[in-house]
Amino acid sequence: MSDDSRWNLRRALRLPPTRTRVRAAVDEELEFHIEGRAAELIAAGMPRDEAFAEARRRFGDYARIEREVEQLSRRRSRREAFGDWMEGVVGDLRYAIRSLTRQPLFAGAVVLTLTLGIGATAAIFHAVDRVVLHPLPYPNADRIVYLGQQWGKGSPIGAVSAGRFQFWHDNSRSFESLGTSQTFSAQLGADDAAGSIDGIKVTPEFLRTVGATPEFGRPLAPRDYEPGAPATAMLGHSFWMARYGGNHDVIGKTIHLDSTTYAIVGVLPESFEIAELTHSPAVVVPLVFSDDVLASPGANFTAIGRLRAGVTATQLGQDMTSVFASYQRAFPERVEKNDYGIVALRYQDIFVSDIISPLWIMFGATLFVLLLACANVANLAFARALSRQREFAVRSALGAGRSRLIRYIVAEMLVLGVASAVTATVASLATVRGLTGLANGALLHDAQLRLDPRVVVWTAATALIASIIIALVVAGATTRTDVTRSLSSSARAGGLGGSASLRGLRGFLVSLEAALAMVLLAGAGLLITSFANVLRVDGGFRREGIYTASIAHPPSDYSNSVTMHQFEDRVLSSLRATPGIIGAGATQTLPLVRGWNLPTTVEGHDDLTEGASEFRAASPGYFSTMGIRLVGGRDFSALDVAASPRVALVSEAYAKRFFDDATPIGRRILIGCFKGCPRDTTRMAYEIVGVVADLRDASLEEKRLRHTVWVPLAQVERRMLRVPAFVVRATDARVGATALRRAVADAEPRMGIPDIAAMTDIVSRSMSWRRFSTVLMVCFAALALALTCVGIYGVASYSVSQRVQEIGVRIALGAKPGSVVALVVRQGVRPAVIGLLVGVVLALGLSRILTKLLFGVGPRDPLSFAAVAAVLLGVAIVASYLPARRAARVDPASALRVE
Amino acid sequence: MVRRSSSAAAQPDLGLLRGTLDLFVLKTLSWGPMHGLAVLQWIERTTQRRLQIEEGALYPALHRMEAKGWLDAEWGHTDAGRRAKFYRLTAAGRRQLTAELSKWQSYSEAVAMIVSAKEASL
Repeated sequence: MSDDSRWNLRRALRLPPTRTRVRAAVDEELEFHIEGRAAELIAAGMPRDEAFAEARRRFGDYARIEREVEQLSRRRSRREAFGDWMEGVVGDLRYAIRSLTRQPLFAGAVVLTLTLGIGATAAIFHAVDRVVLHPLPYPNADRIVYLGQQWGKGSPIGAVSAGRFQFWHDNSRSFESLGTSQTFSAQLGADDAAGSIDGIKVTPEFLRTVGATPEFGRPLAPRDYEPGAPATAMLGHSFWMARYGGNHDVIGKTIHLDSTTYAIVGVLPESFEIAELTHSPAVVVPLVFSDDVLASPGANFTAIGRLRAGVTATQLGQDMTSVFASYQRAFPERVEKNDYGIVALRYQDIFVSDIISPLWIMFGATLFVLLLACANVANLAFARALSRQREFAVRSALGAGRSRLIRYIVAEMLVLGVASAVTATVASLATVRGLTGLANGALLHDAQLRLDPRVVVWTAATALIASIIIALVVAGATTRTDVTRSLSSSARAGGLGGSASLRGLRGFLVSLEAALAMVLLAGAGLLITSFANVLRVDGGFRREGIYTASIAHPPSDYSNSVTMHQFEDRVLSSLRATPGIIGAGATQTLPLVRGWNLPTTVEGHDDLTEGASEFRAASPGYFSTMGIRLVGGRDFSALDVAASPRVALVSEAYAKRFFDDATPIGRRILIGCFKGCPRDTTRMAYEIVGVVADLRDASLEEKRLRHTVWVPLAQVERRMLRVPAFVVRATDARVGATALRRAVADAEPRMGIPDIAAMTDIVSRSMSWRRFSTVLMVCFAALALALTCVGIYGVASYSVSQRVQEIGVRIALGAKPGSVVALVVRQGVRPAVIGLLVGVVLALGLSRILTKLLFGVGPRDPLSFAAVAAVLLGVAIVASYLPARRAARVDPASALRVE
Repeated sequence: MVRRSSSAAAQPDLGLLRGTLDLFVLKTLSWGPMHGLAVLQWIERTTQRRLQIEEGALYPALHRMEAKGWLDAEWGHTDAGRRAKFYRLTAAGRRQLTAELSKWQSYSEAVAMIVSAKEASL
């Protein structure tokens, strides 16, 4: 082939010329000009050398022109090649859409499968993104730290008293601002008819610390905190929208909360969230520390601070150490032995830490589901590609190269991928709502879940990457077939599934699906077993028929034990007089809601200390109402009042730990100090009068039983006083709730409406994360199982349809239907079994990451593994039995006639 | 574009305006496909060598117009059997020529009016 015809051909084929070709062509064109000019001059009589020199002179700066033309030429050919390629892609896409709409079943199956896979990842990605990657919408959230006191070595961050917070605030140097807050709920409206709302009280620097500025109106200002200042409030965005219809004239209006009238000064933006509430607070009001509050030892506050720019962790640590040291110097009497200094943690790490690992595990599981969906789609696409081998053969005979065919297959898969991305986005939005419901408030900021650009990008990216990879795998395997063979051979030869390697590939995909499904099933099996185990845990207290009422914020005159105790008495006697109430009691710490620990010592045995014991207070009747077993001694009685000798009950674990087998009854314990603590211990000494059963009241999943001491509510000292919660055992929920509400209101109308909850709900709420992980994992496993089932069925039934003649021959030769069924089932199940075995190995390796989520079952529990393997095997058999039955019904006469 | 280098500036310049070379090339090629040298020779003949053009400058112009889609190029052979690149006017090129021509017409008319004005009539 001559040079120029090759050049012209390359142009005709729209192929970009090579780099050197471009330069050579430019040179040739320019030289042609100079030579032609020179020839002209020679013809006019000029000597040859002179003629060439003159021609070059007239031509000008050859090097520059050559460079310029070469650049132009190269740019043009690149653009042309790209344009042609794009044109081809557009054509392919158009053709793909047309041919897919003619095969809606295939298109629908692929889109559905991909939507499930991509949608699952998108939904969990959304949660991961919200909770783990961008937990709080505060500006420069990385500079926000959370400060608490460490009570006891290795114990988590602890709350501090108002006085201590104030000291930190006044003496630390690392912070731009340091604030604290307190959530509360209050009765709305002067007539108490409008229900209760959740709000937050904040110190002057709190809003600045979290970076919240009003949407309109003004923020809370120092003057709102001055003594005698009129009460002011800011509204949360959604409350303002709901109650005031988004009207801007709310500023200056008033709002009644718990018999106080607040003037509204501003409205916070929609983005304002706090980590302590799952929804944005309805109102934000000043938190003022009165001298009383500052003097009270009640540890109710955790501080939140915004670091000055450039303050390092080390500097912060040094600052906190020196603040604590000066606190010790200033108030030696307030620093107990178990004060281990100030802890500072990144705010965004605090509230999500225990949900991060289940979320990542779920995210990993969705990637498995996605991979499985891709394998399934690849399988479908193989089947389709095989049925179109003759079409492809014709196309390539007509000159379409392999790359054109691959491009076409990619285009077709891209069309399906884009469609799936759209449906997956919609589906994930729908499921995200369900997810937050399932997490039962444990997922933060549910108000903010909406179409997030990052999630859209994620969805689009997974859809594109998945479809391109699928397409390349399918195209790579199916376009390698021999043109002449496909065209010349009969339908049978072409139809025998192409090459053997192709059949192997489809088997491999089925194995892959089975392996992935096995891993997910194993995870689900282990989590279900754990869930069942937790459900079986006996916390040591009654759940059925128990209803509880918690009071959030008693009026300030209830801050001493006498008034509080009288209130408790009034409520309890009114409850006990209510028909339908079987028993009633009060406590400071409802099971699974709150815990509290204090150091205790056996009197005279200073050596018998072991950090803190759980501290509980209960009224007479609490144990019997809650079904808490009394092991020995006596229960609290109405005679155990503030003035009578102090008594205590200890848990079995406590008795065993500190008294061995000797009876603890009659011994005295000191509650609230460590060994060698104060001069005068009389106020801390309690005589043990009984032993109660161990409870799992901090968490049902606790492995170690805690040492617990109980004291009568009436004998709780002021510094240990907490707002009480009431429990009743009632014949039904309505009776219980009504009785609780009425009893509290009758005893003290200013208490506000208590928060009523059934004990079963409290237990259920305490299992939110376990339920979340389990339900999700089970969903993913079920999805995986369904996809694998479809995969096995698809391959088996395709292979039956391709082997109709062979089967016909077998039947004609006397094969029994049973043996035909066995043949097909065996072939269909084989790759699944291989996958299952691989999956078991994989799951044994991977299940360790689930350890944290497991309860009462090892990560390699043989029973769970065997059960799910049996399920998978059963599904594989069923999936290949259906096509097998069809095979057995083949009519040999008609099967052989096809040829 | 016609004069970018100092060597071009050194040549006598009969007011070859920017874009004028394009017009020449389009007009020339409207007679039929030609290679670069033929285009130049045609211009020389027609203007009776009144215009001096830096010959090399023709080629960037040709390639640029090819990129714009006004020209199409193909390798072929001259009557003498030499390989040469031939340019042909495309439909878009023909439209461009018409547009340039009418622009030029009105410009040259305006120039003519000023130059031939007898007296300032205030």
